[in-house]
Amino acid sequence: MQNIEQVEKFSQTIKKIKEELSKDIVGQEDIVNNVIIAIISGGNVLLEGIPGVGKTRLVRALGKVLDLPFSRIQFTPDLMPSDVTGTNIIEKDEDGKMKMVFNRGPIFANLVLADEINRATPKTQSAMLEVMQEHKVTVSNEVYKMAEPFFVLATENPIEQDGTYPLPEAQMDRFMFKLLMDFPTVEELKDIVNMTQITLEETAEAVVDGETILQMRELAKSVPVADDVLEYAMNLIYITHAELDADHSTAKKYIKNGASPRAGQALITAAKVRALINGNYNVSIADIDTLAKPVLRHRIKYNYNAINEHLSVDNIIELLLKENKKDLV
Amino acid sequence: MMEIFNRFKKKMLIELLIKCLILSFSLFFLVFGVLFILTKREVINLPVWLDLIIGFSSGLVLFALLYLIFKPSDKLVAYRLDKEFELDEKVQTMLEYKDKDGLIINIQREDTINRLNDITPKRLKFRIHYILYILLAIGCATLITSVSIPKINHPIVEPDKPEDSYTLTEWQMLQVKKLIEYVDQSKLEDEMKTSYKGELNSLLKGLEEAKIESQMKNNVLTAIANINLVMLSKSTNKDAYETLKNIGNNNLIISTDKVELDLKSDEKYEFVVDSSTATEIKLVYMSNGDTSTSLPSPVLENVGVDEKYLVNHEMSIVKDGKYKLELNTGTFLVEKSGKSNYALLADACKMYSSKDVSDVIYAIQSRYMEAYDKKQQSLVYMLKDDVEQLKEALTTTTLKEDDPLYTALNSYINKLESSVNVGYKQQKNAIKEALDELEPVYVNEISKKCENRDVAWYVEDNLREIFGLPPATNREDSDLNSGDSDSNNNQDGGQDFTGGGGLGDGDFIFSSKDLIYDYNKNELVIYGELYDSYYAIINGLINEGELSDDMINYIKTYYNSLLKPTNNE
Repeated sequence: MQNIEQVEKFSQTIKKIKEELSKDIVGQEDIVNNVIIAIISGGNVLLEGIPGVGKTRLVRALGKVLDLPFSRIQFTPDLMPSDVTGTNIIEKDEDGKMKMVFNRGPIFANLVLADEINRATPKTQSAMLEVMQEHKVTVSNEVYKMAEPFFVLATENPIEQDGTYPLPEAQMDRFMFKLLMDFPTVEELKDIVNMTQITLEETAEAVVDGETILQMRELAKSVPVADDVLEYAMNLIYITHAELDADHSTAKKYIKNGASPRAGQALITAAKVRALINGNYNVSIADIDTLAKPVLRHRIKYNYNAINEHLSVDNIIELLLKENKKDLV
Repeated sequence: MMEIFNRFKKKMLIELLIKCLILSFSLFFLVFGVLFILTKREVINLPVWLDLIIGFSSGLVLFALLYLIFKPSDKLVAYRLDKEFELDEKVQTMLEYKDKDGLIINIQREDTINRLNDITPKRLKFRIHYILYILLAIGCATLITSVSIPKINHPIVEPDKPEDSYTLTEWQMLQVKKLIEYVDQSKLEDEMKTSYKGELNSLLKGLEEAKIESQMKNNVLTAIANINLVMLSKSTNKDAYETLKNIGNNNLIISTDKVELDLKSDEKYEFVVDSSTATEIKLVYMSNGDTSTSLPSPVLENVGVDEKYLVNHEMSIVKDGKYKLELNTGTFLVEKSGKSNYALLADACKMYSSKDVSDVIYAIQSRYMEAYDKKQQSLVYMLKDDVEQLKEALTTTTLKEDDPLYTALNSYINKLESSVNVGYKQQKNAIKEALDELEPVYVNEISKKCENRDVAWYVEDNLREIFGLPPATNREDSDLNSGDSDSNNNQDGGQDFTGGGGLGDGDFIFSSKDLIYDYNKNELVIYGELYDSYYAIINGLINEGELSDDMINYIKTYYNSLLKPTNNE
């Protein structure tokens, strides 16, 4: 009975989150779904979209709905690592003595919005590596752990490339998903305008706390995965590598660098959450197929053949999925 | 949980059984059908029940193999259910986690069971590929064909035919009487004539009493057999041939082009072997029968039976890399190659014409004389050993001692033996005299016995023709049956002394360096020289315009055919 209640609570919570987010976000259901999956899975998300499609608003609304300490870091070329992580400063204590005190940076929150992350220098971007992967910050040999749950939701603008610094592969790999925010439809645009005429502030209310998120994550981890499905997922990762001897025709033709093992972890973890969200109690091949693009698109580097044939990374992933289906029993 | 799952598994098992049955029956029908057709068409000889068993067994084996290979596993059933009912890998997951317990795992299991409960096994449709039906159709078609085609029926026993009756005709009687007359007028001895005529008269009497053909045939064949028995009892030339043939084949010893033989005097040859060819001398036989130990060891190694050198003298000098043998007794026949003189003498036994026999003996005589006069190099023939061989052959021969051929050969041997230790010129004369004495006896005896055989075979051939019997086959010595020209039918591969050179009737081909008997000169000559002299005469006639164009073409074609190279060239 306890089990069923937990599962029912999971579904209700997801439903509530979606409902609250829909108050501030028009359309973008897939993006919202995937962001929720990432948050429950404990993964970071990179949102890419042209200015004004609601990237920042989505993250801010999410901060409100999740009822978690939220901070925003606006990345600029002159942003220093210490501006992100915090730094030691000299302070007088009660006795008037001078001492070094760590002044926490904006990264110390549960939900961090790294706005326009590609505008910061690589040095500053690298400051995010440790905290994104290990949820801790090391300053002057002192380790400071983040409060759980901890998420980084970064945004980047694909159009303005002047004065930007592309994220290195290592950092890209730290993001569970890379989500592309499409331009809204006319109907959605009308709704956005109408909504913002009333107020620019987010109206969503908190429906879930950090503790619940952690419980949901634990529940999702116990979703079973059949061996065939696991093999299918891992094979998908494997066939992104052109350098391996196997007959990976798509990879050999279009891919320069394949996905890392971290992609496999992300794929299965996210698939478990997706299965639960959809009311299933096991991971299916459909889950893997659906999540393949957000998981792989920032982890695969395509070559000039793909550019020459006007293939996007999403097209290549579709080809990989087709190739992987052939290997299915 | 597994009960629900097993319901579907059972359904898949039934599907597999149906597939296995279709394929097995297809094979059964096909194998049985093919075997039955082959049996009916008598390509193979198997009883029908065996065809049936082989067909059934092959079907059974295929059934077992298919069942074992394709027996549905739980995993396969789960995969099929997930796929067929779009269950998103629920069944596979449930099956995999059936022994595990957990929060979601239990819910997943219940959920999957609920879903499977909603699906009845009937909804799982049989999937049987159309190719299986085609295979079954082929099997059935073969079976129907095999049953419907007719069997080839052969009568087990040929029906008895009424035997033809036989009556001796006047013509047949007349022909037999003519044969009796022929025997009577032949040159046979009286004893032989009486025997032959007696057999023919008995035949006539028997034929008059014969009523059916088989009796006639029996009488004729009995008469032929009796006549042949009489003939064989009096014919010993074959025995003589066998006796001498063996000598000829065994007694020729020395053969190499690299041996230099130099006549030092009337009574001494010097036998010199170049060191570069020393290895070709495999063995030297001494006069006492021992092998020589005085030659260097490499010379004595690798002895081949057909490469022996018979020398009855010791090696005396070794110098300048040459082995020198001095031969003290000057009694050597030197010739190029080919059969020995006794092989020729044996061949004479096979001839019919007294002229041919005389020619051959004369040719042998010429060979001896030639050898003594011309000192040709490369072969050494020992008279002493020759005499011993002849004597030994005569002791083992099947010829009787009172047989004239035996007496003549014995006399010949004695003559030669008395000349073994005499000088070179005396030996030459002795051989000539011995052959002169041998020739008339030889000719007379062989001619007489051949006449005997001629008459017998003439009678047999005519009887067979008169009474419609098949011609005689497998005569024991068929080359004795060819008449006066049979000297060209020498089948032993020996030189053809009466064939005129070139391509004889046999397969023997001369090389230009071979020796051949020249009738005009009465001596052995080099074939190449004889060819050139004939060609010069013909060429002269052509140049003088005395020959027609057709004749010229004919002659040119013939001479070109003689220019075919041999292995020796």
